[in-house]
Amino acid sequence: MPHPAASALCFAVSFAAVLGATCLALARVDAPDPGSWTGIRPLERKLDALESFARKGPVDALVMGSSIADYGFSAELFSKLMSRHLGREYRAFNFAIGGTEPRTLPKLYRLARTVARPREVFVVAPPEQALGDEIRAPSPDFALAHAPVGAVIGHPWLLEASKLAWSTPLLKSAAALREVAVFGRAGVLAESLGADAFATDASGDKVSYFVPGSASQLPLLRERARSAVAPFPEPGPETPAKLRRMLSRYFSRPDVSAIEELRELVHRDGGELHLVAHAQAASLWQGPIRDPAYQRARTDFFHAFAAALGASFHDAAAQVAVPVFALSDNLHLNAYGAEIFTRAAFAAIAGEAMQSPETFAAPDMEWPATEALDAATLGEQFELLLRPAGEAHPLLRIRTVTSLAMTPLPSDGLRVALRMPGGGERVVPAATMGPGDVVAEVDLPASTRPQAVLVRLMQGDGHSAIVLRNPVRDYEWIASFPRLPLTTAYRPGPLQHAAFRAVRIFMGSAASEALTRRMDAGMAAPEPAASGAADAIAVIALPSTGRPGRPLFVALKRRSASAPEVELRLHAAAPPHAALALGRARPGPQELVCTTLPAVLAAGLYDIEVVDPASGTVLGRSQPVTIEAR
Amino acid sequence: MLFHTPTFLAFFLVFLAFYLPVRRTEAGVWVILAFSNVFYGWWNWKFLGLLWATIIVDYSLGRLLARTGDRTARRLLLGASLATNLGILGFFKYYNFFVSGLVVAGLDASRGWRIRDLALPVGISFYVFQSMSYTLDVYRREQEPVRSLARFAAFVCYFPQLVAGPIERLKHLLPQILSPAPITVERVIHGIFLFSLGFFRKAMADTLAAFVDPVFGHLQAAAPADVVLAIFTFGLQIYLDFTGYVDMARGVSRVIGIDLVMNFDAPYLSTSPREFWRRWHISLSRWLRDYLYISLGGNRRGLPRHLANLMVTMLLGGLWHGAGLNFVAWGGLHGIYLVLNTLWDRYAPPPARGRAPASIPRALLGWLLTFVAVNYAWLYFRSPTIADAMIANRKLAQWILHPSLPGATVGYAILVGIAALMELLIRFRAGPGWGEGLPPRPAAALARGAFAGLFVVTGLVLLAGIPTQQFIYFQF
Repeated sequence: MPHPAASALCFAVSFAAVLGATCLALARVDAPDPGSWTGIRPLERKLDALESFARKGPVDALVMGSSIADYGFSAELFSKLMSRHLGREYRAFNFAIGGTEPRTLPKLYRLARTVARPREVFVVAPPEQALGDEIRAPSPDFALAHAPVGAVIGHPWLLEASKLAWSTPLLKSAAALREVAVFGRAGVLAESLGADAFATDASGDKVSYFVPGSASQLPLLRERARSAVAPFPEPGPETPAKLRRMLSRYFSRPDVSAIEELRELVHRDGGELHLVAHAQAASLWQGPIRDPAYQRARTDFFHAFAAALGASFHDAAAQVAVPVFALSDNLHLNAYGAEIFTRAAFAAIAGEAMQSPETFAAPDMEWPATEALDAATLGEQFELLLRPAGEAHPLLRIRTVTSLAMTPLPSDGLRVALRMPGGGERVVPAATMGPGDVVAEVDLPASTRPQAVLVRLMQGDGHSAIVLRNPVRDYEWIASFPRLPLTTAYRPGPLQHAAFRAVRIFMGSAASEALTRRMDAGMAAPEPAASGAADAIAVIALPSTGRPGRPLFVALKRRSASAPEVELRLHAAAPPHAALALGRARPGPQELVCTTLPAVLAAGLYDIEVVDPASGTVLGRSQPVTIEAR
Repeated sequence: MLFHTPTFLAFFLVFLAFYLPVRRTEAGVWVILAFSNVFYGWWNWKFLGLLWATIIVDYSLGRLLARTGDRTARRLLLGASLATNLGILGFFKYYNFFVSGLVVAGLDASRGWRIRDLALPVGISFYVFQSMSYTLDVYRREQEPVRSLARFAAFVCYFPQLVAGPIERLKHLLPQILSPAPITVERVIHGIFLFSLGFFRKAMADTLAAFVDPVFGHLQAAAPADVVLAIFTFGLQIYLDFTGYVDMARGVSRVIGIDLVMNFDAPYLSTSPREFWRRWHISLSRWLRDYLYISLGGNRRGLPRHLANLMVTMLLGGLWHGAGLNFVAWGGLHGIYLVLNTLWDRYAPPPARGRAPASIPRALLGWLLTFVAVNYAWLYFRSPTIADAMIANRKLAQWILHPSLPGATVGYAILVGIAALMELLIRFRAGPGWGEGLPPRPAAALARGAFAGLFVVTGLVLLAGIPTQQFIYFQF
């Protein structure tokens, strides 16, 4: 090969090798992605969810709007209702994003069509006054304009290429690596995530179980919502000229252009547009606002909007009345409110009579007194969980949202406070089963009627209690504590040791000091003397005392060849010598595994056995571990 | 259009598609000219008129200067060129500064003369100086006039160096535009390597800005130790930002067979202020030396005049960077450094050659003093106003009286360490051209490819998802 050609090849190969190796290495690191491509983490999560959703079948409907639609519309329920109505599968996805204005809609649609081509687009919006022409700093439009996607969002080919580039591990992980390695601040990522605090289900619905901290402010907020939109001052028939004037009154100039752009885009794709009237949550409380001026204003607003969109209009909010427990806050509905509204929307769209919610408003439901909200001994906000009739399980398992935007739940002193329909408040101990996973020993008497229970997570007791604001993702009433798997395994070879130290240096207090200390201690500890076949693996519990529900580290040092996979068991030293499986591990020459002890465990002496799961042979046993009372 | 954006990458690929087939013909000049105008117009096409006004005036006056033998007429023609160029520069860059000066001087009536939102055309100081150097050279009969307007325009607005230099001379750049060097594997490899290096340096500069900007944005509230760190960090930031630009410009240009002049040569390893200015922004230093300092008499008219010339040159050099007393102070400070340097060399001359042991401590002390002095001067350059610079000075004094450690991370220290290592590498191994022109041995190409890959990867990690920041020198 000629000299220059060989050089060119060498250069290209080594250049590509570095890029490729970095991408491969980063693909193995589960680095958090703050949504650098769009600048809006929740939007990227929804886009990923939409992509998965679209892979499973055609997308019949895409719901777009602001946080009012994000919280207050259930695409999952809408799909079920429409499927039943049409007699075929109907699939809707909620692509609403907090802060969306009309000007954001075509951008969201352009992003959505990179992964799906919906047949129908539902714009779900409340009546609002125009906010002005300029793009304000925290809005999605501002974020999109300043993010990498901003330069290409108007060009479908470039948008696809940009999306592809930003899905590579190198670009996806870049922000996390930079923040931790250069600035030593993992917390900045959490700040950038903003509204990434709530769970989003497979249909894109944001799920909130929150209820307002107080009902006393709602009349005032309802009054504010009433005066937010004014009727169009010109009486008479709606001519095209009048509609244009109405449009320019209710919408800013960029909004008007965006509405036209969305209409063109959807029609070009052969789609159909619908406008669904929603409202601020406070204005749905106790039924629609009957003030004639408000009614006229919202009619003017929606007629102008629908005409500009070229959409059919469905006045879903006209007849909706929600109880206070269906509100997440004064602006948004919670999951129960979303169910009520979605049924109303379906009735308006399908032309059917509205049906009562199935899960929420059972006729014999026992409710806490509304005054329970204002007796805010626990703080401002509760979450409302439902307990079916006859439910007798003593434990409540709550899975909270785990995202970078949320502070992890403490493992110490976790409590769950409950307010029952009968009044009074109970505070019961709870234990973490894993990240965001809590089991509380509620031990409630069985009830013949379904109940709505106000729940709050907290840490500590009495005056020193701290209220935790980790939103509930889902919950279940269970009979016994779930079996705990081994949660983490570290293989601290020399390189890993160095890497872990580096992480500790970079991240400072963010890294688990206790973990690294234990890891160091475990690896430095002298091995117990071998005493036969049962010593194939040295087992060292770190520390030698533990408490139920707390993590326990176990150092494993393989002394001779044994089964590649082993089971760890907690073995009571005193009768009845019951063994409790802690989980399985595949130890190397030296390994540190971390497990969480069961939340319910009698105090006493235990040892940890390492067993070959195939033959049941004991391969190693730790010195006694003292389990203290919780 | 910034070099380190996908837009530029696309632009450059399209440019190559048009340019490569015709690069050694007259059409190549037209392709460069067309794409340079697109490149400049990308920021604000309205300022293309201003660029072309400079081109047309200097082209025409250059032709007239060549035709005229009369000394007075030649002076008038040169005066017209200088008046046009400096008039454009003065109006857009210094008009509001001048009006503010009148207000400060007590002429209240001038308050209303201020023009709000007077935009500064990007790169104006660079292309005006480059164009002016042509008429000055023609006036001095050091340069034949260019016959073709297109060729002259291609020289003035050659896109890789149009907005932030290096400031080229016609006799160096135009022949290369007309007859670019053959595109070889060595050139392409070296060009890509330089571009990757520049991208990495820009990424480091933008990352360091995250340590600098909050401090200079809130000087009053900042801790003294953080102010000290921010001053020195800014010195590094501006250097990496500017060298990053120049590396990318030289890399792009080298790929198409045109070599731009070196603009930096490890300046922070200089052992005296004079050496610093031989290594920092070399093309501007040479411009100021050739057309201002020497025109003023240089060092040929006695010590007082020599020192005065140094001061004037540096004050005007400071003002070239920006319209503000802080820039004047920065230039003045460097003038003082050069004056002191001249006096020191005159009254305490360096030891004779061959006495190396004696020169090492002197060099080390010289390096330390120069490094601290140069970085201290950046305080004035970076402070938004002279009042802010005074606050920073107070913080500096507080820190000297009560030293403490600033809050920096290990990542920061690593960035600074890499930058220092690069300086040492340039000075003692690679040279300012990073091995330019070396035969393309496969082993060297392998190493270059790996380093280029590393530069790109690290640069992407540092910059991905952050709003793109302009180069600092674009505002000058």
